[in-house]
Amino acid sequence: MKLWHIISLLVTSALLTGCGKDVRIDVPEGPRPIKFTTGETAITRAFKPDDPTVLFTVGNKASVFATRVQDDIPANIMTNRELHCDEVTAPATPGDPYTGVWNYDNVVYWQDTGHYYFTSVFPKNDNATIDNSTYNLGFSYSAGTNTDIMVARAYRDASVSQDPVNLEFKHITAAVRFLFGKSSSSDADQYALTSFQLENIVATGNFSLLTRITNPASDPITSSTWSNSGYTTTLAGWTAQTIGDRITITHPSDPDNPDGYTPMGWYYMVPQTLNASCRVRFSVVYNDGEPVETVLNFYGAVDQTSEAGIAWEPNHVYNYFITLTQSGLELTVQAVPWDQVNVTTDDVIFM
Amino acid sequence: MLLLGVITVSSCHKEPVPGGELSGYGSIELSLGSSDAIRLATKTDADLLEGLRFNNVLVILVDNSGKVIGNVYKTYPYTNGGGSDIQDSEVATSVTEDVIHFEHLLPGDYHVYAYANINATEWQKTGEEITVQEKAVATGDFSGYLNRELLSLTSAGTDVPVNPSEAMLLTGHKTIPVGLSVVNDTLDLIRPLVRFKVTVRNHTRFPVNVDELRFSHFNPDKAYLLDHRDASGVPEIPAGVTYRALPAFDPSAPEATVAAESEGVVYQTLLYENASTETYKVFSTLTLDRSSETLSDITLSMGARPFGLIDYETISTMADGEKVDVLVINPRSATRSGRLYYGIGDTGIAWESCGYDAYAKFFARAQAIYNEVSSYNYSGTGLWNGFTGAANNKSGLAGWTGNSADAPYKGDIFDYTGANHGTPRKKYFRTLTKTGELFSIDGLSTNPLSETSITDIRIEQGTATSGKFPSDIKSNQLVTFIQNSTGNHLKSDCKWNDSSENGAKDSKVIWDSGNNQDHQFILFGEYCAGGLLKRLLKENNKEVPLTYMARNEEINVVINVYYADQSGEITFTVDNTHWTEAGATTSTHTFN
Repeated sequence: MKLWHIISLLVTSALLTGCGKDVRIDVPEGPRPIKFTTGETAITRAFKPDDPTVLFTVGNKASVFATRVQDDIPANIMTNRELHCDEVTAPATPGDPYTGVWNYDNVVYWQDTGHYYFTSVFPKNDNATIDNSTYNLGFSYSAGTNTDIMVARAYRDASVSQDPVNLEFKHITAAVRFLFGKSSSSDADQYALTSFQLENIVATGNFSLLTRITNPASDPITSSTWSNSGYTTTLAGWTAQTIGDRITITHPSDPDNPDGYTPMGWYYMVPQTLNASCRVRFSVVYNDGEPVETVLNFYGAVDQTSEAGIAWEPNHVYNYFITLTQSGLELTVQAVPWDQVNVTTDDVIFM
Repeated sequence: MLLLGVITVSSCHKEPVPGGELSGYGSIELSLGSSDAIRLATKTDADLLEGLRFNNVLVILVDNSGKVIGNVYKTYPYTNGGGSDIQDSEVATSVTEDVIHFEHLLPGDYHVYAYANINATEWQKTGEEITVQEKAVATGDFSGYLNRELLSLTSAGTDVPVNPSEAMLLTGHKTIPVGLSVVNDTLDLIRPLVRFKVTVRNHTRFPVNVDELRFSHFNPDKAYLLDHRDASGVPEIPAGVTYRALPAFDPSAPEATVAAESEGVVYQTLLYENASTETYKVFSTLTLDRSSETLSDITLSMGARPFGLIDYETISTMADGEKVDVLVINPRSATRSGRLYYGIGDTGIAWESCGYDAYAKFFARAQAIYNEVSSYNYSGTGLWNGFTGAANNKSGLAGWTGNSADAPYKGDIFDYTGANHGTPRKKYFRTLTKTGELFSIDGLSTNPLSETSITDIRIEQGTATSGKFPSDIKSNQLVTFIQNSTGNHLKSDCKWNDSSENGAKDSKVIWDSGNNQDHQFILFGEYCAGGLLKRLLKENNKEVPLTYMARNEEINVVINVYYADQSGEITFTVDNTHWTEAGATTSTHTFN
């Protein structure tokens, strides 16, 4: 059977939300310790990374910063303190949110008054700092580590409430994956991925987020929190070393359902304005033939809202659908004019 | 979620010609206006003849191993047959472009071969018609069709491809890589021929008549059906090609006269593509008709040189097809040995005694013939008053016509009236012609009873043997004629020492294995170098020698004609009265 290929690109983007629910914990009277909780909304769709254990696993660690401001005088009460997850409560009903209990050593207690600003970075990042003059949380990230970094901010007026602080984590990278599918449902058409890599992608960036904020919900994390040198490189490279390493490409019965595709990713990328030459390079074998390499430029690939994708935003998910289907040749044959050639020779001069 | 496909399908669909109307009687009446019908028909026909449209196309897809993968033939109008027919319908009877679809392709490099207007058989080889051969190839090896040739022309003739009668055959070839996505590409259908035109651009106020127009030999007798080029884009020509002259120019045709301050195409022909290592040349003689101002005509040949020596260096620049009329002389210093050979009689060669002690005297003799001097005195002292037989410096014979009825000439005076004119050929001048790499001399023969020319000649520089030639004749002024097939040299078989008059009159030229003073010749003539043809490069307007013509090229040679009739006067005066000394005082210098 002949090999039929055609490539289509589809981008879906979705927001990751990390809304949590407050959990009330009964505490005795007297100085109350500062406590933290986290929560995750139910995941119902497969369009985004949906593994709650990324965050909710006993032993997971996060960094937490806390500043108390009283009479305009700030005091750092926690600086990159380790917050560790000691308990995870799975939902009784699948799909309901998870909850977790996060503790830290050397408990800090609430003062009766004061404005408390809390910032947390997951996973724990020893290089994260808060600038005392700009109040910006800052750290660098390399996509080579492929980490789903999350950041949370919270505010409390201690005179109003000293309940456990809910840390609502937001994903700050862009989650990207490439979904390979074959259009043919026939088992006689066997496609296998043998190599993959992304090219002309910014791999490292610097994150900077204002932490002194009373309503984090009103200050969403945008691409302006990221900066980079503009230097692009190759990422996510993979090559099958043996025939057994090859990845079989599936046929999605529902072309709109990513679950039917063969994924490469998730890749947690530095949010960036894409280089116009960004591309994916991959090799596919058909029925155990020789690998055929294809390079696709995905800059400007159109998403479900017909918007051209030219950037990766923080807290967004990008699914690129690559469907291998029949190829062919559309040949335009055309008649053309004579090719005019001017020829000179000696002049004839009568005298 | 929207699916973005990278397929872009382009197709050229022409709107149906309006005017169809169903009458009340169940028939269709076409209501095209007559002027529309005429204009449409004329335009379409002309475009088909010019290769600007095609009424059918055959596209064959071949994989990298030479195997046919697809064969699509469309004749217009074309109706999609449905089912497995994935080609587009087309209502027009001819089109300028169309999209041909191929699907189910494995990745790899493919070769596309296209032929359009394949019913135009004027240029196709008998027995290799595309309608029968290529059109039937749906599978298998296509390599045998790659080097198919166009119709062969007569090797010894000047014929060129005929003008198409209904449509112009077009061909095209391209290599297209197909990957994992649909490929869109375009293939040009080009004419497998060259159109060659000569335009005279007359910048003068007088009409110009083109009396002569010929070219070096670049008219091949064969060419490939499909485009073959070398790495530099020069067309490849089938082996064994013969380059011939183009069809003769007709100086009596109306277009041979170009009016004042205008331009006109004086010559046009189709021909097969061609290539050479030498620059192509044009030879033209034009006459400026000044009768409107009661002035005499002026005739000029392109690249004409004054009458004089035609040396080896000049001969070596001659192009295939080029010719020059020459006097053929074995220039010996002894009067008995020198010979001018100039014609063929009924039994022998026409010759005259021609020996001098200086180059200038040979030239003077040649000029006398060129200028048709009526009384040229050879020796001036009556040396030829009688045959004196062998071992005598005078030898006794001044010449012979080669005709058995004519006695040998013994006088001192030669009458060259008409020597430079006359039909069927000039009396004394023989035509030296280059064909391919070899030469021929028309009007002389080594076998005068059966041949009228000497052929198969290779020319090399001669050798001035000491003591046998005047001291001021150098080797580079001499040539020697070599029979290419044997290596023999043409010899002046001078019978100055034959004891009988009949024997002595039989001086002739023969092929001979030797190579001494008898085998060296000097040639005099009026060489016309013609004009070198230069291609004007589109990208930078630079001129490069024209050494090839590729298919689909319309080669337009432009000959600019000017008339410089302005004269000027220069006057000057001499002041002999005031010669002023430089400096008012006398300068002194003291040496210490």
